[in-house]
Amino acid sequence: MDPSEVAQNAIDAAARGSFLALVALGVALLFGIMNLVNFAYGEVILAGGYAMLIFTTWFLDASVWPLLIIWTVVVAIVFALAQERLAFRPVRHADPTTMLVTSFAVSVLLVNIAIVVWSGLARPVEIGGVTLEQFTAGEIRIRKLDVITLGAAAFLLLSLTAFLKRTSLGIQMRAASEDFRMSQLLGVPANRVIATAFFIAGILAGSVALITVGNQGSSSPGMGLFPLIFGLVAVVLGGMTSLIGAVVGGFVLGGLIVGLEQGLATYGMERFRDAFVFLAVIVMLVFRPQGLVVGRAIRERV
Amino acid sequence: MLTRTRQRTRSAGAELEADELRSAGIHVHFEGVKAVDGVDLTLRRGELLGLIGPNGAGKTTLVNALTGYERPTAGQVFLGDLDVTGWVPHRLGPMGMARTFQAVRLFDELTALENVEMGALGVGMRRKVARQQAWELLDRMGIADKAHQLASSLPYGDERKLGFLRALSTRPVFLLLDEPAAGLNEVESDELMLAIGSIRDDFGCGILVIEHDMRLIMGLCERIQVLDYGKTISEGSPSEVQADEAVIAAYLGRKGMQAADGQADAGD
Amino acid sequence: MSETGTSTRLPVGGSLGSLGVRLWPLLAPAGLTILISLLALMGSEVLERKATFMLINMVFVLGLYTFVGNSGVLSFGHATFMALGAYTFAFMTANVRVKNTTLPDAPGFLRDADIATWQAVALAAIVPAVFALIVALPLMRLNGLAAGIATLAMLFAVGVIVSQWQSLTGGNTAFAAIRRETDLYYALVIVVVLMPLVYLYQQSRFGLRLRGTREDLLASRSLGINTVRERTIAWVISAAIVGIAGAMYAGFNGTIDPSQFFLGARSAGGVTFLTIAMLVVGGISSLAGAVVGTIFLSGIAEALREVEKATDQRHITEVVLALILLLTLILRPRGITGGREIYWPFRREQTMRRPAAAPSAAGTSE
Repeated sequence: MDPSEVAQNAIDAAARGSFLALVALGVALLFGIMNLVNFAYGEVILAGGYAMLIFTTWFLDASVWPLLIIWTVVVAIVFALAQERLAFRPVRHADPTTMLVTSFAVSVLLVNIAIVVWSGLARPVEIGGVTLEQFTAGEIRIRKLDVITLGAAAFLLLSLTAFLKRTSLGIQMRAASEDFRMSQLLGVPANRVIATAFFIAGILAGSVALITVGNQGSSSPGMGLFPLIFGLVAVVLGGMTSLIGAVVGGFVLGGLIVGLEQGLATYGMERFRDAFVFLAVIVMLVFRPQGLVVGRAIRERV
Repeated sequence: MLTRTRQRTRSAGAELEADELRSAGIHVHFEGVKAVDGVDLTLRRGELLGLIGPNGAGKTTLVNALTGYERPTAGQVFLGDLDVTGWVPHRLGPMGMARTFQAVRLFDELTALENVEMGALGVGMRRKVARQQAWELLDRMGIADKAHQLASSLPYGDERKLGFLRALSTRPVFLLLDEPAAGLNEVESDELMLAIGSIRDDFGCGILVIEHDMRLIMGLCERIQVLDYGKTISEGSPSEVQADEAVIAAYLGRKGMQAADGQADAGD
Repeated sequence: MSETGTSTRLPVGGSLGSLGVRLWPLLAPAGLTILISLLALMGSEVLERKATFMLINMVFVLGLYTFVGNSGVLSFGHATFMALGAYTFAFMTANVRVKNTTLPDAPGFLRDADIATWQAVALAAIVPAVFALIVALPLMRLNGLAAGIATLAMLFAVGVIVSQWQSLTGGNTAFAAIRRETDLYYALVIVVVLMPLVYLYQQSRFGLRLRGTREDLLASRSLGINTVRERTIAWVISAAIVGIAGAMYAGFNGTIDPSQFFLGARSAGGVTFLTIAMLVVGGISSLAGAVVGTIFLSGIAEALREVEKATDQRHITEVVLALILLLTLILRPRGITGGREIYWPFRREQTMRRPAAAPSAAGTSE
């Protein structure tokens, strides 16, 4: 492999990694605070995607992109908060498995509502040429969208870190994700902390929706599924209980995907890539369930 | 009857007729906290041994280490001559070890009868034999009339009895009871202690009892071992232990600090 | 007291001698299932097909219940076993000439296979069971959420393989010309045979031990119960049953393709969602729950399909089913049956009455 090929792969891995890190962060945030693996998080992304469709067909075209971004993120936040209020708050004290099934139900509900309203087919979203533009430096090609993804991921990660480290609400959230019950005893308001987690997850999902639609140029009922599943994979790889782990997991998975594509291509087996990714999940869960980055200990006392 | 059928029904335990359960220099450390710090303990068959000590002395952690719930940082556990250090709990069950839990941990959505059957099934008995035995045990504790109630619907006192019976239904050679009378009133406690004594007499097993209440344990056990800060500070007959300066100091000295102690408590 | 009398003291009448278990808690669920099937037989052909489809789902849910209900470990992966069973059945029974044309690169023994239906059904149980046994090694060690995610990973991994292995399965194109023999009688016979087996497993020492691990993992270990082993037993049995559901489905539809089994953009929840919904709505931890949930949701789904046809609006069914599942989880998380068996018309006490001649004061005579 020559240097430019290595560089190209590294850039691809970083672009995918930062995308996955954004999804994984949203998944890990909710898991850390309330032990919820939220399948329906994919449908927050979906809501963002269809919000973009509505924006470009009903209101304005995509040239007023700052408005498009704000609109998409706001819709995603509203959906995330609505999920919390309507579905997850009533089962908050149930066991994690019940919450998991609940999120599965919410996910299926929203996907099928999307199908009823917009049909099962992908609907093109006109957002201009940004998706196709790319920079070239010698043999290396960099898509503009990848640069935007990396930039957005860096911005969101830094903002989130600053929020969690500097603000009192952020500190309360960290306390809650360490030990929810203890944080309650110390007076951290449960509803506010959980709502904030969903709020942030909504921002992240809105950003993911913007990037996804930018990539595929359309919105479709299935658009939330694969980001979610791979985000979940990234969280498992990185460590379920740590936000840093989620980010690390996102980049590791990005690298793994690019590596698998390269490696399998030599055997003409790249279409089996995802099977290997899911195999990696099972291996990880069995041999290193705490993930690459260890957060709080999950261990039951006798 | 119960002791005789054991040899027929327990397959893995057939080779085991160990006459003592022994720990040698057990240490259990949690992130720098020495919850158990080099304890030697011997429980013989047919003996009633009391394990006492102030809150956080490491009693439960020691029982966890003996029953496979906690891997000792150092030291060994022996069943007779067999080194069982680090064995997982479910391997120890068929070898004749059973325990109860401070929090009882019943199978809530199963009936009382099924709860008691479970111990027998766990060590490999057929269901019919297990059920027969469960009825006998429920009778023995006077709760046979509640056999078909779900465990979650039983009053607290009966829950504790059931937890004890469940462990007993494995037909243990060594039975470790973690505060069996916790939360019971005086009458219930006395009743339970009497039952424990008679079980020992009938089954010939060795029983270790963790207990806070000095009154109960003094009346029940022939031998008592006292832990404090993870170490054995005294051992002997009830009267010897009661007279031991170190024991008195440990109990009196800790009393004022118990509130603060509860938080740092790693074991109990 | 005597120590020899234990085996003769139990009442044998009306119970299975070796288990001492009475089968009558099966009366309500089995009776209801048979009644509905008979009613459907008297109705139209459409109704008959709907009832057959309900019974296929019931077999799946019975299999799912065997593992999930008794172990308390959620599985999103059982559709994998259905797919394996369906493809096994398809390979064994599909028209040989069609197979040779559409799958020229598949191994000869698969292309030329043409065995009796009952043999194909048996094989459709064995193949997923063997697969389940292999994957049990890693999967059955996992608890709670990790187990749920791992079973999901299994579903996706196998889904990728089935849909991408063009030369073997035909990939995403439909596998056609499968022998269509699944009718209402055939499905009812399978249900009537499997339901008591599932109940007997649940009542056996294996089933009870597994339910012990469900109720309290740590406590069950102290009694010598090997969680991994007990779960593996249920997992393999359940894979075999769901594999049979797959064979029934393949023989019902005549064509199969991966989107019918695996989660994906096209399936919008699919069989994984439907069967989990049936089990949870009925009550996850009882056989009665599995049966009642299947009947209840099948009834609603089939009625809604008619509405869909009339209004030419698809996916209303899924929306309503998801809402029902959601409301169940919020308002009645233990399901319609509360996760208990239906003891009607008797009482629970009579399932395992105390042995008549048992001594009342054990131990005192020793």
